[in-house]
Amino acid sequence: MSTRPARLIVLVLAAALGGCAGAQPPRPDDDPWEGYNRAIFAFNDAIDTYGLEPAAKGWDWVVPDVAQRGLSNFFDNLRFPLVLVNDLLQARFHDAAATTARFQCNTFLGGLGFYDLAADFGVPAHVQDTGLTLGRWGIAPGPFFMLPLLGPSSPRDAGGLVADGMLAVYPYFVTIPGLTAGLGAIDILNRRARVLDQVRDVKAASLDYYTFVRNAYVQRRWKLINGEIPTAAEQEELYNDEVFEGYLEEGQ
Amino acid sequence: MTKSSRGTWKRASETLAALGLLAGVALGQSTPAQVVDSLASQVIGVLKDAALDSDQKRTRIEAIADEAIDFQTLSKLVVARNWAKFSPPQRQEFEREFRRHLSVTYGRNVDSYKNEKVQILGERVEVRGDVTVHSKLLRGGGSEDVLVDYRLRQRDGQWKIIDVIVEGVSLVSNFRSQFQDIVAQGGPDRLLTLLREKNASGESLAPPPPV
Repeated sequence: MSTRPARLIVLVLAAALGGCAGAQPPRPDDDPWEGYNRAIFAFNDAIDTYGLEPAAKGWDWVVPDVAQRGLSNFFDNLRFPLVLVNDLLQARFHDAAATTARFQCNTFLGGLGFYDLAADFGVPAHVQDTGLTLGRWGIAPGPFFMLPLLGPSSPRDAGGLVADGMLAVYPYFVTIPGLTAGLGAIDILNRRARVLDQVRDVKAASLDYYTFVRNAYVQRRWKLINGEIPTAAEQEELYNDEVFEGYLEEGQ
Repeated sequence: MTKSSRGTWKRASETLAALGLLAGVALGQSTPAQVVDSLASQVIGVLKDAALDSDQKRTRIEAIADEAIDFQTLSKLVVARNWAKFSPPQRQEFEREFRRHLSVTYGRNVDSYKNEKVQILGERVEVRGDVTVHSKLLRGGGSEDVLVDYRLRQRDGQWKIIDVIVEGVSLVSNFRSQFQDIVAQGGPDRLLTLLREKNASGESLAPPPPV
């Protein structure tokens, strides 16, 4: 297996780019690469608006909801090695056991993963990827970093994505003509179709779509790694409204 | 202050807040969880009501939201440090336009109710005596469900929502990030103009086709 040295390279890369201070609270407005990020964001958004979104609308119109849900479960189930390896790397053994039980249950009793039977039995999926492992090991994300086609990220999470790609299952069947590309296309189309309404709402609700995405990404990754409960300092920063009083006259 | 005495104060203030909750129950006021629960069931009631048209649904939901959300505090929190740059009339206008913005953007969905339900998971006492109510928006189970937290603050004896946190993303933090740049570049007027334009274009948009 080539995953070990690859993982090491990824780690070194992420550590070098991201620095090693994981305990700093999130700073969703720090964006030293904003010019580059906005350009890539505009590019991604154009591809989505004129290519992916119309295709996903077509998909949504043709494929019934129950089939979309099934496909979404099927592809989630194929993430089994990725989720398990990262559960173990984070020493989350309870999660690792749940992940294994989910894979067996959904693959053999849930029709190759099309039905999430394990969730019905009270063992729901959990969010997991290599970027989270790096974060929980104390590696800071580094600056916000927009990836072409792949979307919002950070140097740390981009490094994680490389490892995630190696831990995905279906790319290994690339020798069977069309299978990997076909499955990949279906996965992307189906995933996009599941969030048609949400993306439309976000675009309508934001005055600056780019800033919306940046803030949401930074907040969500931070909370996945550090837990849902904000520190007292973060709460003061967000919710102390008394410090905002007073009005400055023009020119002051 | 030493760390341990700060811890004691924190615990004391949390205990006081918890006692306040109990007192509220005794006086027959709604607890934070009850406020969220009643908001959810009232909104779902309106969404399910086949006798109402879209406009009637929107009007009713706005009235329900006005009852449950503290728009004054919310406005101050999203504008944050820049609040001092807003004159009293600008503050009032911001409050009005921001409320309209939320109503226009979320009101578009009144016709796409797909039998979602809200489950209250619990509550947590926070610093400043706020309370966070955890809930889950049930959309058919598994990864489709959405975790939504509501942060409430007591005002004139009533618990009102001052932030909504969707899957870890705080609405206050998110709008604050967006508005900060706009005010830094063009002042309060620029933000008010952008909000007005966005609201006008949102209201003229045809509702999404019922596919």
